[in-house]
Amino acid sequence: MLRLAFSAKWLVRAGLGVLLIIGFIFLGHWQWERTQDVLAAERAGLAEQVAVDQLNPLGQPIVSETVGRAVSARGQYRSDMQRFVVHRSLNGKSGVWVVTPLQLSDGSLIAVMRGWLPNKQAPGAVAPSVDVEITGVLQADESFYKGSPPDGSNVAAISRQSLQLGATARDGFIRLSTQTPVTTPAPIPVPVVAQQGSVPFPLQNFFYAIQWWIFSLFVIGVYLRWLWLDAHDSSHSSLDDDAN
Amino acid sequence: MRSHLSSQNWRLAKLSTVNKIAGAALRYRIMAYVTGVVLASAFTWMVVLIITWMVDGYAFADFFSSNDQKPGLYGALWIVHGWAYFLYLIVGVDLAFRLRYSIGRTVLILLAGTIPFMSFVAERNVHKDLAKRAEPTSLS
Repeated sequence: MLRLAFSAKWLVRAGLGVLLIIGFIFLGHWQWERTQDVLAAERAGLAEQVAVDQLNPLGQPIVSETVGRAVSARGQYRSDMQRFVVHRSLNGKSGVWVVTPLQLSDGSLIAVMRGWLPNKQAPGAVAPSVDVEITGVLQADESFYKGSPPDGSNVAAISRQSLQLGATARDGFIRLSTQTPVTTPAPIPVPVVAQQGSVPFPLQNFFYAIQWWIFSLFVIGVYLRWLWLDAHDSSHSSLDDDAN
Repeated sequence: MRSHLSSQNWRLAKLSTVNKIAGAALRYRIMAYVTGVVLASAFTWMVVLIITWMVDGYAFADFFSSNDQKPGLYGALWIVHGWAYFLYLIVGVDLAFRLRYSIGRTVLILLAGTIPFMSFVAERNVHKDLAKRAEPTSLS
């Protein structure tokens, strides 16, 4: 069998097999790159900033795919509806979160968690009265203590019910990242702890990559089987060519 | 090697070879149909989707460059075809070796699993060939 493998005919076949294997490895690599590209494109799509009214239609509950998306909004803070979420600490210091609804140009409201302050009397608590453009991360209503009513200006959790924003409010809230124009003093932005929504995995490209690589193993198997058959058939050569 | 076998053993050996070919042919037939049906469904669905996309004003190439907005089951069909074709390759090569097919014919049979509706044609071709071989003259 070994002597047969080094015959001219079988060396040519081995060479062709190696070429096939190299080709298959490249094709698998191409599908692997494609898998990565699709994932990168999907993640970039998620990271892209979208106006909140496009992502979060009025009167509809927030969908899980939009939670964690970067959003922008333009409007005016409604200081009269501002609430403080109590018992929220930042870096180990106890304090409150300042939640001020933002009124968009269409009149709808979206709650904005502007950040952390040590207490309700801290100077940053007063929201700017000018038109602002904000960016932030879209979040779903906090589910715990969701329905508990406000105690004066204190609330236990951020939700449309607890903030009593009414029917003109969009679901969920924006966790503020930036505000233009910048006003000082202001609450300290609280970093996002919620994870970004996951993107669909391109299984098809992933499996194609794996299959191309398996095919290159397959080439080796076929070569060996063929060589074995050739070596054993040549002892009684009648079978070798009668099928063709 | 065969000359050492007694006539009875030789008959048994031949019979088992025939049986092995019948088994391999059955495996090949199953995989040719499975691969063919899945590929035909995925391909037909793709044609329908492309037509709907183009009616909606997308370019032909948009269908292939875009990664979203396709039904989940549609993508799943292509994945199933990928793995079915892998099995098709194995049983196809196995049968081609047993029948001592030429490399050209083998490659054509194997490629038939990737071209819509062609695996049915290849399977028919193989079974015609087997029927011809099963005639008494070619077996003796």
